[in-house]
Amino acid sequence: MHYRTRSHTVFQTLNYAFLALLSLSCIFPFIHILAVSFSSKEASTAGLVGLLPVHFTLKSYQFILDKPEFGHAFVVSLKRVAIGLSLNMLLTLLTAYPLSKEVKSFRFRTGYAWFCVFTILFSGGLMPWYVTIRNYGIMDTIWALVLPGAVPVFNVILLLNFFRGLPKELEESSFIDGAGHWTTLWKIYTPLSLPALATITLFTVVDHWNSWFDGLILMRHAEHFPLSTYLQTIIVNVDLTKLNSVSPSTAEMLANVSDRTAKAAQICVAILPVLLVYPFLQKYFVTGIVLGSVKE
Amino acid sequence: MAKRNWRLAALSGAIVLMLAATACGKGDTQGSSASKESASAAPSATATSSQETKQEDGPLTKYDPPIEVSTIYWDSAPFKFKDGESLDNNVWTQEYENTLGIKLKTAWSFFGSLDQYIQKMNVAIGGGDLPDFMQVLPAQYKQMAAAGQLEDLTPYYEKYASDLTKDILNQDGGVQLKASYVGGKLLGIPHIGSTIDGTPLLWVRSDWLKKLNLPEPKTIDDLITIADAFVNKDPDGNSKADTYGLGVSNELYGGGPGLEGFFNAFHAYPGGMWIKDSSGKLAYGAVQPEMKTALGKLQEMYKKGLIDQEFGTKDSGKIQEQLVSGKLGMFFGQMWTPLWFGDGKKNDPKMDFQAYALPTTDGQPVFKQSGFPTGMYWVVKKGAAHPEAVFKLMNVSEEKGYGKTADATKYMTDNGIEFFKYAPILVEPPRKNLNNHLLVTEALNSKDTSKLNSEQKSIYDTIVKYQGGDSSGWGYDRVFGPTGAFSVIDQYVKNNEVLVTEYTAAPTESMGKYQSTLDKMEKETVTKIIMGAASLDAFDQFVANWKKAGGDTITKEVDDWAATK
Repeated sequence: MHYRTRSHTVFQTLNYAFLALLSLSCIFPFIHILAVSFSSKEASTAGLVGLLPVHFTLKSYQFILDKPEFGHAFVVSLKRVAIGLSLNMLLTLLTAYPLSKEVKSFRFRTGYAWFCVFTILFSGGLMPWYVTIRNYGIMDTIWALVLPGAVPVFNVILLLNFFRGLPKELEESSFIDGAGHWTTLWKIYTPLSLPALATITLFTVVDHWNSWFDGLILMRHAEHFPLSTYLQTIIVNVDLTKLNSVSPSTAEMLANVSDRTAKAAQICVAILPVLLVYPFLQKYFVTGIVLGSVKE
Repeated sequence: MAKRNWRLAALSGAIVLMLAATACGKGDTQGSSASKESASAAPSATATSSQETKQEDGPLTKYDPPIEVSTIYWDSAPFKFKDGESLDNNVWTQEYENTLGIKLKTAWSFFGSLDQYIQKMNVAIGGGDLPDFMQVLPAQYKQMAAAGQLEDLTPYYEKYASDLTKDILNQDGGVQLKASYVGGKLLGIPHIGSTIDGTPLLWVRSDWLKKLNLPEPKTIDDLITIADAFVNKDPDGNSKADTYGLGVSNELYGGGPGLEGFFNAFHAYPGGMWIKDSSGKLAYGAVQPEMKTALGKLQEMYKKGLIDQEFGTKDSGKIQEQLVSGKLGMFFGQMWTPLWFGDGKKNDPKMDFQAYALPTTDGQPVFKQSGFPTGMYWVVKKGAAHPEAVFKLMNVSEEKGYGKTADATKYMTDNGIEFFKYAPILVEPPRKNLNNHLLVTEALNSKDTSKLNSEQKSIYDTIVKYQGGDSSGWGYDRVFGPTGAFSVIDQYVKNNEVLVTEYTAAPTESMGKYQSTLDKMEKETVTKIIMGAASLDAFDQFVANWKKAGGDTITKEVDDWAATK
């Protein structure tokens, strides 16, 4: 058997070793953060924590529970994902379907497609973006976070190509049975595209959960910040060289800012939801659903 | 089939409804913001109607009917509140409303780093999205002034600033207030900072000094002896060579740790300082020949292993780590640093630090540098309905905070909740911290606390508790206590040894263009020389490059500015 040769064994060993190292290097920082979150403040400030907690304590998780800002931000983020996800998925489906058609059944298809692609290549820049959103009057509301990116063009293109890969015959037979475009989209295309839709859902959820810059600029009140914006504000290091003279109360604040345990605990809690979503979507990552549906 | 079509229609109907709902959501907020606009437009109408009573208008005159003033709150960490209080309803907003008839409105609030605030502020300035008054940075102040976005406060300052407000703004001799004028107009109120709080001190682990029988650091040679012992004589007694001599971070300068103090000992003044040279002209501190001598000493120390061999990759956070874990025993830093690494005392109860005046090299007096302390300006948006309101707010803040009717437990801090942060405009007197030290020390000697205000009383209590064995008050004792940092700063002030930068205006045009490049150049050269990667003579090359790469242009602009002062 060809895979029993020595060179093959060597390759396999090296390959596995390399991949194992790669995944370890991805997971180590996370374990470290987890360990810090369960350690005492003094130990972590002194840099004593490695991969295991030092002076095990749940204090920092207690601290999160007592912190109203974290709870507020968590709720905002959940809201953002819920609204953003439904809006994005709906509009992605509705945009991808017509754009996946041939020019002969949808004459302006190419024009529309380029119109969408253009927005991936060029953006208006920070100020026009800000002024546009302000003029719509949605600043400081949840809509400022979900409406500007309501049509994720990249996802549209993904889905569009997936639609095009589906056998034409399925669509034709659905038309012969008397279905219109609506029925075809919802009853034929959508169920057949579950793997693609799962991927896009994952992209969208992670994207909404992680984006922080729009929250930072568009939200006027700290209690409207989504979680990642809030985390961003507590995690960024204070640059001591920029502080000319520090009052004692600021200095104590600095000591707390360097409180890595509380930060670590908040990061761990923030990762949880996305971590939980993954396994549930995994089962849709199965290809080959359309295999055997058409005999040619 | 008919049934199927019906369901289809229902589905499409639902989608249409959903889209309509989102559109409505937009419409709603638009509507409400429009109504807000008309609400904020209303006070300006009432202002004109109340103009007949204006002749008796003064620093504390109440608005009747009440007006609304919007502002921005910013701090590094979210405020804490008593139960039932919030940004829009707290002891300060009530005070303003009751005594002045001013309702404060939060245009926006932000709690995060300065860089993020700058980013948010820049976008708001660019979009013209400004509240009635707000805090901005010097560069933004200059930019807004040039763009005509600011109200001229000159006439209002004379008429509406109370005596106390004027006194506090002039406690530094009026230097910072004078520096705030742009083209003869006062376009912003400087957030007066202290020139003495930022002076460098030499912090040394006094328990190690005692243990190893070392002298106090009076000269640079003492400092080198101490550093050598800290590295080689195992001060922490664990038989491992894991301790460092002099703490240096890759940022080189700053409050903790910063090399300014070391350079000052050699009469060199880096870190953005402008000094008078022998001919009386202004010169940039970091390119003067004294720098070279100091750098030579640092290079020598590095070679002997008295400076962490990897300091080039370690930021101040790492230094904090070394201090907390008891590996570092000496660094130059500002007065607040013990509060920053106080956790070290919990890890090792034997740890103790003492602040010393900067050592000398030649017995001559050593001047301690202090950067320009105005970090922020309060500005009023051009076209604000009541530009004078900002002074009235400040009058009340200063009075309740530091005036005769001050009540610190009600307005400043109580039980760890800092009320003073809710005051949108408040300047602490520049000598406040030093006075706290002097009064607390006096009270500790006499046991008489009747002269202390509540802030001083809480420091007093913390120190008394520390002396009774509670180590959590260690940081406060090291800063304000009888032998704390301020006892040294008090000597600096008495000996007149504080040297404030001579350039006191917002950054000039070419500073905006070249300064960051020049700073990078300086940092690279200094780091390389200390690490021995470049010879000491590389400094001369650096000075020549500095001049060519924009330094000369900046110097000329600074000269021109000095001529018009």
